[in-house]
Amino acid sequence: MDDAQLVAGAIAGRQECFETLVERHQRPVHALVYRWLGDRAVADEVVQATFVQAYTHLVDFRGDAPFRSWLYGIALNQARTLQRDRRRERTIPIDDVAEGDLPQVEGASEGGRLRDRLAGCIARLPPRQRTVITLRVVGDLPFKEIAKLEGISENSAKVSYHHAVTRLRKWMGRG
Amino acid sequence: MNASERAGIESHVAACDRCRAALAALRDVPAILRVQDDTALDEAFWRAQRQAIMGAIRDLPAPAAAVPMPSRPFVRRPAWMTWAPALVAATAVLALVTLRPDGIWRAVPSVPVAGIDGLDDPTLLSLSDLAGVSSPREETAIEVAQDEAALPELSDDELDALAQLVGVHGR
Repeated sequence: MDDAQLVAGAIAGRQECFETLVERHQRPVHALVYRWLGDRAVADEVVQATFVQAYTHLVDFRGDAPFRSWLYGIALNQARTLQRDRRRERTIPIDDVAEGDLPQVEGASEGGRLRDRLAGCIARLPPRQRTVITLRVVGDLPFKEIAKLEGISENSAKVSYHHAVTRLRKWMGRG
Repeated sequence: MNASERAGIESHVAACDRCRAALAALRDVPAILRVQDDTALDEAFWRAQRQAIMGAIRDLPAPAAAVPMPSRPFVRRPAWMTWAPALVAATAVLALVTLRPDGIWRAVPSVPVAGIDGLDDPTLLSLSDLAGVSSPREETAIEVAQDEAALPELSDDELDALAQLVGVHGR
């Protein structure tokens, strides 16, 4: 069954259809939220809230975009809300952070350390750039879908993406 | 981008250090990000997450099916329908202001009642024609009763004679 059929089944009251949707999309949604937030535990919380909200608003899914895109939109809104609620501490611009103070993970492999460090840098990007690069690279959405989700032009999404990559390379010492 | 455009860009990138570096940069960071590290999360994690989600929605009511709205075919209205109602309304307002009895733009100037009483029938008829009044004002029941009360007690013969005088026959 495709996503649209499962959505119809869930709307009709068959919760097993929704469970199949959860099983199908929980990993990509989790990856997206984790990359956006840079915190695995919080990402888990956001994923759960995302699917609960998706269930209660299932009738709002119109099917004119992939179900995955729709879920991503909900997930990012949940992540933004949660982050806004939690982030009360003072933030320091990444450019002012010493190289050694950037996120490091003890005992992880070289690749893992690099990814975690990158995740920490992404979390410091301006919101628009962070969202666009996450949706493009992790969510694997085309720029057209990203533009629709964010309410911006496709060109603006591409420009944000380019700026994000340039900035990340600089922070990672690759630029 | 079509094949020829792509070939042109690729040949340029091959010869241009700056563009080659920019392209490498664009591929570099996303490549790191794309690497899936979900292997650290085993199936038990995903199952637990799924159970938590399903547990949260178990007691929720089923998402209500949207009530379909009756679809109305789109009908393009003629252009005049946009301004005609406004024109009709404006005309009605103008007519009310112009024709109301105490309006400032009365079409027929009022004539004092006493003056009308003093006019003879041909003159009244002429005035009525001028004013566009097709029928004289209807008498009220009280006015008729008052006129009848003013008539003297006449015999039948006298009444017949009067009827002949005013041209009324067979009263």
